[in-house]
Amino acid sequence: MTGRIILSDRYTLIIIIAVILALLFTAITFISVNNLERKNKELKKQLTEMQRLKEEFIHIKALVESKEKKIGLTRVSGVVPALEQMLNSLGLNAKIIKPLEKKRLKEFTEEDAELEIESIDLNKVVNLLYRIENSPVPLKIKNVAVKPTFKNPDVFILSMTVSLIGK
Amino acid sequence: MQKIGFIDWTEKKLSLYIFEKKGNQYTLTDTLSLPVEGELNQSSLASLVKPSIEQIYLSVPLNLLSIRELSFPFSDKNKIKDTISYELEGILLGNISNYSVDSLISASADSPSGEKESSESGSSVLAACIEKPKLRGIISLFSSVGLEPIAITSIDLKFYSKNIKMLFESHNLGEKIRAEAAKEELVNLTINLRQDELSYKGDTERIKKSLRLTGILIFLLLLIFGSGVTMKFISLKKEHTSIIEEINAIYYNAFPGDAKIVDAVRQFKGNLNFLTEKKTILGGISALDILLDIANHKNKDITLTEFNADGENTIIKGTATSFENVDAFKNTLSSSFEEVRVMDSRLSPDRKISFSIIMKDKIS
Repeated sequence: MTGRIILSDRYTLIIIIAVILALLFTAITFISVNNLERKNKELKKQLTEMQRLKEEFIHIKALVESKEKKIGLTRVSGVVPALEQMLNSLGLNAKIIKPLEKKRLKEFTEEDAELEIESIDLNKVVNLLYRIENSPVPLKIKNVAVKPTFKNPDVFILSMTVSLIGK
Repeated sequence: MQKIGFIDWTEKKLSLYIFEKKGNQYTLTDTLSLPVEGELNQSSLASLVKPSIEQIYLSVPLNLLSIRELSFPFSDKNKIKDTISYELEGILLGNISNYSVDSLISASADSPSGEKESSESGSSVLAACIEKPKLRGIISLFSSVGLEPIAITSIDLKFYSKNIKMLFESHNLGEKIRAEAAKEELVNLTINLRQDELSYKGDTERIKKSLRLTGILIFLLLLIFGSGVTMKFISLKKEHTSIIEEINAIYYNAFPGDAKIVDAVRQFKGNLNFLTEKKTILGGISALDILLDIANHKNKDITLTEFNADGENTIIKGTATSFENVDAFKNTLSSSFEEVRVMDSRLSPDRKISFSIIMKDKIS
């Protein structure tokens, strides 16, 4: 009976159609809002991730650019002469200083050398490490070991592997 | 419990029988009567108005009806209803379309048994007719005092349909008998003169009104809710665009050479991985930074004797005054290094604790 009344009365029919349309519109909008909320939540996560990556990117980029600049600027004959020059300037004598293998890593070359200094005090260890890390020559420390001597605990044995990076 | 009123209008009296409906049972609960002098008017009807009554039935006096007896060669009620107007054409004053007509299969005056004559051979039918303007006047008169009848019948016709000769005789029936007849009418109407355009539409109108009101209220509610949802949608859409723009800005700021962004985060990570590989090749270990970090966490109870770093693990060895100091030192190192653990700690002959700690550089 209600159905017949709805169908027979124009105004009731218009109201019912308007209600159905409003209901459809509201339902579709509601679903879209939920979807958009979910997407925005994911996007916010992505944004936070991007901001974190950006900080990391700036740090790494600065480091890489500084090293690449050094490679372009300096010309040295090898890792051993570069280390010897550094040791001389600090008044240090190496017990062992010998070139190791030279290998290619992507667009770069890596020339390793083994260095061992006996009877070195901590101050000189720090000075040498500083010189290598901040050298105009593109050097990098691959590994380092500082051990005390048996005779005097204030004197150390420094051994490390240093690489010269080239292109 | 539903209360139903039956107004029995005769030439000299107006009676209201009030029935209570329980399931399919009707019980007479009250009777009101008032004399009718001359024309029926609003003021006389007003005294019958009872607010508790939900439905009204009306029985009209015979003098308002035109009764015709007709014979049909069939007894199907629907067929009779379809054809009765043609049969009545010419035997009523004026046009048949001006009349509201209903019929009942009557008892034959010649039938000794008094049973209704309706067989396959034919039927005798009583047609009750009333001019539509007159019926409309009756309906509006009763409606004006809030007593709109949902059906208009005739108790007299019910009684006399069994013996047509009695229709024209003055015969006064007792109130009890009439009330009983009214009760029967409630169950099964003899006739209903409210037909076609004069049919009862009160229920329909009520349903229509409530449907419209409900519809409008729902529509308004949806409108309010929908507006809220739409506003939220617009705001979320703006936020969506703004976040995408921000992500793209970060990306283009870092990699201005890249023309197209499909998935900014993935592309960014890809480019960053490439840069990290370069850093691994070019960087090496920052031995001084590691030494500085360790020195910053060390206290006077700890003496470090050995340091070893290979880019992956850092190992430090030393002595402490107690095991607690070793643990405390390990815990403080955890703020700058990862996976810090004590590899070895033991009491040496000089009552000092020798320890080894292994840890990893924090991934920046």
